Amino acid sequence: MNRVIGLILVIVTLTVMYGCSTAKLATLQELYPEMYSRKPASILILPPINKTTAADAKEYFSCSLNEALGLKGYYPIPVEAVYGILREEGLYDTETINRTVLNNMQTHFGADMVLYTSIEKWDKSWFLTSGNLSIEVHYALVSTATADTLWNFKTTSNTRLGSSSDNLFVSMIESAIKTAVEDYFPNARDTNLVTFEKALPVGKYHTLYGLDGENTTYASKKGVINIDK
Amino acid sequence: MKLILLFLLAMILFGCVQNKDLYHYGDVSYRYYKAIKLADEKSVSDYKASLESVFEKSAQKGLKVPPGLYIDYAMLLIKEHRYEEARAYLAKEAEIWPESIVTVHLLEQRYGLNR
Repeated sequence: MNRVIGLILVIVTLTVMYGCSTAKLATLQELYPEMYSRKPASILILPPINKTTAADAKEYFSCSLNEALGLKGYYPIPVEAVYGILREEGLYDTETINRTVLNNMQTHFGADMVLYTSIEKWDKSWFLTSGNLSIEVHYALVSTATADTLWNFKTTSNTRLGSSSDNLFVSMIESAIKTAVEDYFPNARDTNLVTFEKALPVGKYHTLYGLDGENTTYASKKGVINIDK
Repeated sequence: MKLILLFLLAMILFGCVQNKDLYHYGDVSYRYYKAIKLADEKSVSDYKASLESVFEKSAQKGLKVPPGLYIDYAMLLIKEHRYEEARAYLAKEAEIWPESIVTVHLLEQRYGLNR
């Protein structure tokens, strides 16, 4: 009996170890102490900065961040209400946001933090029977009171856009079409969801609030996600 | 030994359990993207229907409506000049999400919804 339990124990231990990565890990509390001490709750999502040539990338992210932050237990201030006002005030270009403007985000919207999202890379490639989409995004949560960065993370997501067909010709055509006309909204959404799931401490409305400080993520604050579609 | 085993199993379960039941979002984010991208009558109507579906399913499941969605719905009503209803949805948001109160007051002021 003890041998059986011992064997199960080894399997379970290996599963836990496999779940983690060989990359150096650190606890969320160690990496982001001020997320725990300041207890921010509300987040204003600034218009994403798009450094790529993908015209739709900005909208893919701005429309999917609200849900990803909400599911982590934060109060994201709705982008539809905010962006109209930012446009009228000449603040829609996130690059122009300075400390005074940050303070105003707290005064006028009640935001504890703003979320900066910078889309650094959006590369689509296709070769014979498979395609690939590689996205690199940098995220940062900045305090509206002090302009300090409370949380940041860099994510690279790789999505394989292959074909399920066994026929080589069909497979080539399918993957070429898939790469060219794919609706990439789910890719942006998944990138946000997985990044926040892996690296963002939970907010006050999450059931694990105050209990996740010992959870670990990459000490480098960088992660890679591989998605098969 | 059994205790260690239970602890490790609990660790796995803790790591795997996601907070899926916190809210019901349905496909509202995707519908919002389509409404922004296409900006035609159908895509906006689909987006509005997806918000209504979230309200209905959240009630059925006994969940709170996700943060911000009552404001999103109010914004659509404002565009339709249905100001009284918009004000009611803004009030709902402020009632269940205290963090929204500053934004709700700003929107009420901006669109002349103050009584």
